Amino acid sequence: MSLAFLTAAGGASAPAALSPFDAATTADGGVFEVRDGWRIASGFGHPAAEEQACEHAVGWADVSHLGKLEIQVSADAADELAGLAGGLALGRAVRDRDAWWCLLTPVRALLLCDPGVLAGLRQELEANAALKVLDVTSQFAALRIGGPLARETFARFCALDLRPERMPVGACMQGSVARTPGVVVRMATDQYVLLTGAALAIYLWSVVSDAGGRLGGRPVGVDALSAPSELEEAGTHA
Amino acid sequence: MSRLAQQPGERIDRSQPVSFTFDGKPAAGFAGDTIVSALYAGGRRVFSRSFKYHRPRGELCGCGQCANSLFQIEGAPGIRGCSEPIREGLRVVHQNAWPSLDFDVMRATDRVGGPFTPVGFYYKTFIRPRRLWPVYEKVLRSAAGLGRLPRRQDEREWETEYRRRRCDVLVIGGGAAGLAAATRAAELGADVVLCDEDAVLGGLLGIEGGHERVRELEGRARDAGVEILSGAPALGFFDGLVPVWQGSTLHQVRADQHVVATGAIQQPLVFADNDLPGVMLSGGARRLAAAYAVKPGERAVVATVDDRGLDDALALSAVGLDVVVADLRPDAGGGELAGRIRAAGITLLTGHTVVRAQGRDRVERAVVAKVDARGRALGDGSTHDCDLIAVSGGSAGALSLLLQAGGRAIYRPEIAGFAVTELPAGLHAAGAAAGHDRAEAVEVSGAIAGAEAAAALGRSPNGVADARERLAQLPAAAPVATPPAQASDGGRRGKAFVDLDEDVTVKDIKRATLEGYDSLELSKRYTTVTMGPSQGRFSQLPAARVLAAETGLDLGTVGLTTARPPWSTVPMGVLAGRPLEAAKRSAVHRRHEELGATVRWAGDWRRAYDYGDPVGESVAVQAAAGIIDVSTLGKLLVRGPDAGELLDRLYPNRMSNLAPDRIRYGVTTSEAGRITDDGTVCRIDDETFYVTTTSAGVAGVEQSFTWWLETWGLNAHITDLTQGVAAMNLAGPQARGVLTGLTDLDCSAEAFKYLDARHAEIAGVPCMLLRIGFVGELGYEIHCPSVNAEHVWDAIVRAGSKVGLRPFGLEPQRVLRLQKLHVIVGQDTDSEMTPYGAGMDWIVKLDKQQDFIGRWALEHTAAHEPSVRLVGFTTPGGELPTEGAVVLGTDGAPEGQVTSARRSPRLGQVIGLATVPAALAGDGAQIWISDAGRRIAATVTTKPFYDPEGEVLRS
Repeated sequence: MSLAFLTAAGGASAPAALSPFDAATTADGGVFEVRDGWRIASGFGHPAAEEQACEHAVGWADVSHLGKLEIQVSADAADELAGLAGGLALGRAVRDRDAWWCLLTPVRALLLCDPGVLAGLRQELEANAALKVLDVTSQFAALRIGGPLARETFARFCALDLRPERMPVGACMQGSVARTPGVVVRMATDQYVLLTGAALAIYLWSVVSDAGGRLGGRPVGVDALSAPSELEEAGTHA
Repeated sequence: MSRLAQQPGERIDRSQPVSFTFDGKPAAGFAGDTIVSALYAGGRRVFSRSFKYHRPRGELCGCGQCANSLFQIEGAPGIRGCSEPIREGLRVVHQNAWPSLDFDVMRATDRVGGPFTPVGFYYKTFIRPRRLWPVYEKVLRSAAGLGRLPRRQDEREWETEYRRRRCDVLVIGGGAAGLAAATRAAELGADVVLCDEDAVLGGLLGIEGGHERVRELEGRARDAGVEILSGAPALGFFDGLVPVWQGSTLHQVRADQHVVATGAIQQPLVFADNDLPGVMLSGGARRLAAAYAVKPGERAVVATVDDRGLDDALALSAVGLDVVVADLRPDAGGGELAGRIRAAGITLLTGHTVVRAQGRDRVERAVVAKVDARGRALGDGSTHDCDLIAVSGGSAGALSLLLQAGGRAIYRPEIAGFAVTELPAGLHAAGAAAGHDRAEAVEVSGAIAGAEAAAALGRSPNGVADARERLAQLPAAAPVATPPAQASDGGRRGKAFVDLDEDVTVKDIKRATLEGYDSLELSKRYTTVTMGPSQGRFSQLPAARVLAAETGLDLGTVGLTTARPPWSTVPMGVLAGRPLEAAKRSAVHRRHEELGATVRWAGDWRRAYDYGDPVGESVAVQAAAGIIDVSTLGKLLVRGPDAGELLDRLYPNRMSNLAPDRIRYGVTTSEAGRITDDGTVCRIDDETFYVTTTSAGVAGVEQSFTWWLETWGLNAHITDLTQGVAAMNLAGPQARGVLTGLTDLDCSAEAFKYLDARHAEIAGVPCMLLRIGFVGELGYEIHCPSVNAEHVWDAIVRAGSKVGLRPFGLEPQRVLRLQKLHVIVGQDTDSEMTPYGAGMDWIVKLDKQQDFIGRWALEHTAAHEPSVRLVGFTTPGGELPTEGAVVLGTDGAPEGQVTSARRSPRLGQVIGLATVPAALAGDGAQIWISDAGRRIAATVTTKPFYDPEGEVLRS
């Protein structure tokens, strides 16, 4: 027996993985393509409007295909965990090896990465006997929310303090988002990635659409908000 | 029309006429007008009828704080006409009067209803005979209330946006003090939000000729980056959260520092018929003239106890009113204003006040007299023809928010009111709310409060010392006379109102005091004084004065009522906000919808209850095969060298000796040995266990597991995989065949036995298969990544369709499991049920080496026969009892209950689970079920109705 059933099917003949937002993005007119084994909403048929939303209001893109690894250690190996990626710290997202490393508790970290680097990173981490590594990609729905009104959009359904002085670029915060547990990572001045449980994806999409829509925002394709973030540009290490 | 020539700083735009209707008749005003200012300009003086006596009421405050001009607008009741702007086509309707505002038949309660409606009448007058109370109640309910809610639901709904706003400093109040505070704090680097209930900033300063200064202050505040919310009252102080209502948005503001600059509220005076239309606060009259260019009357008597009244008198005189001033102070304050009054040719009667208003339905005369300390007229006084009595009974600091936030107030005779003395950390008072009454002092105190708030955040408190010195050098507040509880000419006619909102009179408070309600809090509850829409703004001090006079206590001892939110009236709908109902959906939910499932709540999940044919679905499972989405099951991964020991300590049975690839059923119990959850435990490898829980129980189980893990310091890790792993149960005699067609795995009974776990690829997707069966048939639980779940579901349905497989929902599942007497924790068990009571004696391993949760309690329980046991039953007569129906003991007393009951299509009979007295828990025992008047005979069974030996399950 193994934990293979936790990882999405891979290989050329494998079925495409469906994002937990798939029903919602389909209903909203998503245009899809398969990348890295995932059916991804690359747009919603209105590229100019999507660009406009990201530039002047708010756009939100399904990025659930991002690889997610959970790393746990025993209490006496907490230093081992904190020493990863050049040094992890609570409340910070550290950019290292094409992944963001978020220390959620002293003994638990969450790693977000492009699907293409997931297997390599996992293998590398599993080589360290002190680390318990688990692929939790399917566990979380992920939204990238960006634009000048991104913070205002969050304010409609979330009481987390996302002001820049409290949550600068590269910060990571856990808390209640639309009355569900969530993790928010600030990727750039006006860009955030929001993680919630996969089963709550459709609910969350409706909440974000309602809140963001009233501010002139709209759903956007996965690339609309994928310009290199300040975090990526700076290669930020906390 | 009483529109004045253009006033400096007026709010109306005369180039934009606006038409609206009042009670169906055309009315007009200008953009910027309020409903009251427009109607007033058109000659109307009566705007409402009072709550209890239906007396005509005119405008009082002019700023949206009193209850004298509440209207029904576009279906919404209780809209304040003196702050609500008019707009084209607006339909305004009066409320609380019938058939019309000018002729209200309920006025009879004022003329003849006195003996029937004394204070607290609803406790005394209409209670006998008791059988008539329902009739009285109906009539009273119909007569009471202000306005009517629309009957249609869609007309009662509106949308409110919640907006969470965190900031360094929240300034409440946009007058001179608030603007100065916000600007100073922002200039020192703080993130500042300022809110004000008025649509136009500036507060009193803007009305009293300082509009240019207001513009300057507002500009500075905006330049400093202050976020300004106007037309946005702060509703209350909830442990640091301040909700600010602005139109369709409710800002939930959390700030590190709060500056309260809510100003002061001009107080009315109490004398006979002090509610006649035309009796108005002098500040209200002045506001009508200054902000809306409306002449509030032709001839005014201004009765005052402070300089503000004198200042207002000068302003009213300046716009053309013929003014007489009655100042209660013997020397009219002795300051410059008294001199200006005289210089303007205005009659100034010192030591005088108004003792009676006269007129039929509006003010026609004022009786003015010199009064003694208790307010009794000394002599006959003089009568003055007038159409306006403008009163200034001193100012009461608007302290409610400060007090809600933990501030304390004491009575200060020199201001004839209460002032804040102690403020908790992070709270600052400024302006009139802090006791400053002169414009310059108000502004400087604001700047100090802003700087102090910034300093508390670690910013440099630049200039605070200088500002404090400057404030100390400013002239002291002008003297104020304490108004009597009631100024009276000794006549018996006329009502003297303490609370206009609730029609509470001086006589009412006196009578309540005689009846023993001799504290302000008691009096409030008995007379309802201060409980109206104004929330005591205009009645708290007058009521306290009456109570002090009656009890002989000083005002400081009488005190104030407890300040509670909301400080401003707010529609309930505003508090509701966006409905955030976090619904979980499985990864194959879309398929359920496509299949036309009846979707219902199951805990926090949306689940397929059935697909339209629950009977057919259950039959299909037993005849061929069925598939049910059980992704909602809790799924925990427990890993680490101590994982087995951890589970041994958490479950009453053994888990550490479970072989890899094997599954064991388990229940968890509380420390009291009561069942808390159940599920299966599957061992994946030496250090890894896969634990399933009930759908609703996973959060609690994970919390409990994690808590005990930390407590015991074991080396293991717990991860909740519930939402990332989909699960579906393939069951039925054809299940093996369907599965075999989808995988290379040897699914034979020999290779893949009951309670085995296997890894397999199904349609190319990595899955874990658990051979278990809640529905009692040969079955497999298929667990796979949720992102591939639709693909797996589709593959199984497609393959199974050849043999008659049907998706089945929760309802058929419940019937099928009941045939096996499989228990649903939470439905068939309650908080007192032990494994012994549930007939699971076998699961408790008291011979285990390890201590485990609930062991001590279970050892004791094992030594005694449980009082009730969970057993199966059938009803020979075929009646289906309601779940929750009572099971009777041998003596006919209730001793148990039906926990589950269904009609089984396969068995053709009613079956169920019930807790029954232990004496009746044997096979074949007859029990009686009492169910809403029915008595149903039932026969007990302890063995499953279907496949009692489990041969099908193990096949």
